[in-house]
Formats: sequence, C-alpha cells, structure tokens
Amino acid sequence: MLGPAPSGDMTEEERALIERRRLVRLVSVVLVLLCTVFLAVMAGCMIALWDTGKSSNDLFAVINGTYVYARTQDELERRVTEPEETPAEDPSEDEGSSQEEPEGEGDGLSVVNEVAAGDGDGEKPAEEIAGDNSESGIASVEDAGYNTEAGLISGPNINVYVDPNVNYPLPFSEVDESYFEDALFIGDSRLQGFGMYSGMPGTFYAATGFQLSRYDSMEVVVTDSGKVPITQAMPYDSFTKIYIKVGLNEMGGNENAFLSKYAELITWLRECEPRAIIYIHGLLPVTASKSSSDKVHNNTNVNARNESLKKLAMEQRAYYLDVGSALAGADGSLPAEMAADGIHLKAQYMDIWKQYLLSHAIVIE
Amino acid sequence: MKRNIVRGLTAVLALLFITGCGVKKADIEPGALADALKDGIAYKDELAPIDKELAGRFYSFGDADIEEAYFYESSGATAEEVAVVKCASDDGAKTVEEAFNRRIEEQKESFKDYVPAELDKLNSAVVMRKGKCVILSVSDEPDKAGKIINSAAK
Repeated sequence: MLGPAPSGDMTEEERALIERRRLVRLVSVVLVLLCTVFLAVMAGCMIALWDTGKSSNDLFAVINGTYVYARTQDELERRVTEPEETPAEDPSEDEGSSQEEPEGEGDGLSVVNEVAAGDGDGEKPAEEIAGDNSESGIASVEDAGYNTEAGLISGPNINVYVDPNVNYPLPFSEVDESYFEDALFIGDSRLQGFGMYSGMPGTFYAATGFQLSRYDSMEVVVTDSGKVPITQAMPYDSFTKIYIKVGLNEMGGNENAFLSKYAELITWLRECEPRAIIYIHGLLPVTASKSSSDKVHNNTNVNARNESLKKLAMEQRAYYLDVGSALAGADGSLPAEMAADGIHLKAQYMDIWKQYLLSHAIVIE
Repeated sequence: MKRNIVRGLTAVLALLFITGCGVKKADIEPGALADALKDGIAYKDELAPIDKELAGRFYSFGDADIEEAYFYESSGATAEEVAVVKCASDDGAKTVEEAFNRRIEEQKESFKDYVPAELDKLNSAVVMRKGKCVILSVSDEPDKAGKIINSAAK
C-alpha cells in the first residue's frame, strides 16, 4: 500500500525520494480513514436526531454547551405556564402552604372605591350592602364545594380559590400589566378598539355591535371553527377578573330590561368563573358635537346610564369603573380630537384608558 | 445599406424580445402595499396598525403558512380596513383569501344594525390574490384600491 521499500542498490537520493513518497501515502491513507470515520459519525448523529425528533440545532447546542441552559429555560417557562401537579397528601411530608400567594399587589398607593361612597338619597351605603364576610358563607374551597383538582389553570395571579367578593368593597390598588394576563374583557366596539390598540394583555370577547340582549347568541369570539357566542367560548374557571363594557349600543331602549339582562350576564359569568372579580365599565362620554346632535347618544343619557351602572355594581358586588372621568374634558365631553365619529376613541388615546385600569384594580390578599 | 438597417432592427427587436422574456415580475412588497393602500385612499376613520397576533381576533387564518402580514384597522366607527398577507404557498394564500371573504360577511352582519351606512363599503370591498399575496381593502374608493394593488403587482 505504501509502495516499494528502498532497496540496497539505490542511491541515497532515490532512497530519500522513496521514503518521502511512502510518508505521503501513509498520511493520505490516515486522512482518508479519519474523514470516513467522521462522516460515519455525523451520519449516525443525524439518524439519531431524526429518530428522536430533535433538530440539528440541538446537536449544535450540545456541542457548544448551550443545550443544558436552553432546556433549563424551557423548563422554567413550562413551570410558569403549566400547573404544578399537587402532590398526594402525606402527613409525613412538609409541603408548606398549598396556596399560592397572589401577585400584583399595590405598592401602597390605593384609591378609595367610589362604590363604597353612600349618597344622600336614602340608599344603603355600600357597607350595609356588602355586610361582613360571613354573609357570603364562603370562606374555603370546601364550603364552596368547588373541585380544585380539575380544570384549574395556574398563572402568576391565580389563587387556588379566594372568594372574589370577600370584604366587598375593597379599595382600588395600582397594579402592573401582569394583573391582566388572566383577565377577560367582554363588550362592544369601543372595548374591541381598546383591545387592539392599548397593548393590554388579557382575553377579549368584544365586537362591533355587541348587544347585551344577545350575549348568548351573537357570534363574537373567533375560533378555529368560526365565530361563536361568548356562551360557547367561555372556558370554566380560567379568569380571575372580568371587565364588562356594554350599554352604548343599548341606549334608547328599556332601562329596566337592560339592567335585568346585565344582572343575568353577571350571574352566568360567576357560574363559569367563580373566582372572577367583576368590573363594570362606565360608558365613555361622547364629544360635545356628537352630544348636541344625537338624541340618543349624548352625554345626558350617558351620565344617566352610568348612574344606573353604579347602582347595579353595588347590588351585584361588582366594581364600577368611571373610565370616562379620565378622558372627559372640563365640560364633561370627550375632547373632539379623541374620536373621529364622536364616539370611538382613536388609537393614540387608548393609553389613558389603560392607565386608568392599571390604577383601579382590586387585589385580594 | 438597406440590408444593414434590417439586420440592425432585427437585432434590436431580438434583444428586446429576449430581455422582455427574461425580466422576472417583481414580488409584491406586502408592507409597502399596505402603506400605499392606507395612505393613498381617503378614509372616514383613522386607521391604525395592529400586529398579526391581534389580527387573529378578527380573521380565522387557521393553519395558513403566513410569511408576512400587515393590518390597518379602524377605531370601530367604520368597517374600513386594510390587510395584506403574504403566504409561503398557494394553499396558504387560498386559506387567507377565504378568511378575508368570511371577515367581510361577518362585518356585514355586525354593521347592518349598528351602522347600516357601512354596508356600501362592505359590498364593494376589494379582495385580491396576487400570487401568494392576498389583499383586503374596505373603503369608499374600491376602484382606487384596485389600481394601487395592480400597480404594486406589475
């Protein structure tokens, strides 16, 4: 393989040449063998990757030492988004508290809940309506009879179970956006616009023309199989806050029927989402121009409806949000530059609404 | 002389023919087209951009293999909107086209009692597929939208 060996009757030069050639051939053979082995190893690795469902990126990650780090990050993310399995109860084990502490607590800044303010016309102050905690009769999972084993989705702000009406009404606190990750927003086109342009996290079941009277039939939620009503899209026990904003599209109709339907919606939502705090959005004002030209959608009617919604919130142990106060000008109207049609807030002003929600949140400790 | 002129013209024509056959149609730039539709048409509402994830609330794209997507939506006051979506495959483009058509029908249902005047726009909505790029335009100027789209596709 390496060629003829030097023989005795060759000159020194010939002998050196032959040795050199033998060396070159030896090196060549070794290189070919090494390449063959390398290619065989690579082929084996690729077959193994294909067989185990990994990609070539994983191979490179193993080689450059980042594989373990990346898998660690994946595991950390998985633990945040997926529930930890509750270990079997074992008196001999010290598992500590099984309840997660709620996050998103305020930093000490709180605003007095407007709902708590009683007015002077003989209505019961909120404290009488709320009563003490024992009135609700629900202080634990066992009392409520809720099954905590099935269907609960963990998240950064979800407690195992806390009565959302405990100590109602609580004062508002300031929170950050993570508070809204398990929030549901239900409502009309204005709320839909808020969902589009505010950058607020959460789930939005909002649509143009959404009407309270048809909440169980109007198809507003996009799914893979098409649009469905919210009653078909609502998962069980997935939200700890529900924000409702309806009322503008219903103006001009029967006020009692509207409020009755609203109460019905809240009752149904509480059955689906037993841990959810219910927020009732007040209607936003309209511009002065719109108000003076529209017999139905004007600020006199908006203010009247908002008073009804405040009372409804107290009756239903929900929290009323006077978002309009953050947007209205000195005359109580929406500034003209904020809405092209006098009603729908433009994208660049959604942050005002968002900031109001961030500073008016209920945190149950 | 005459023969040289004929030869010269033949060569020029042949060159034009060859280069004409060889010129490839430029791909549509989805982002530029979306901007052109948003800026080149007069809208009653102010359209603002939203990303593909948010757009998923309105369009059922299913498993369409979307490469790029640009959306401009209204404040909710009107049905005006612009959507330009580029897919990796013809099947994906077909799925998106169907999603746009569905969107128009859903909007008609939403606006017919809410703001009936918007139905005119929805009835004349422009949905076009240019190769793997699908475009939706809802406005008061469907003819202008069509011209903008066709210009971009040249």
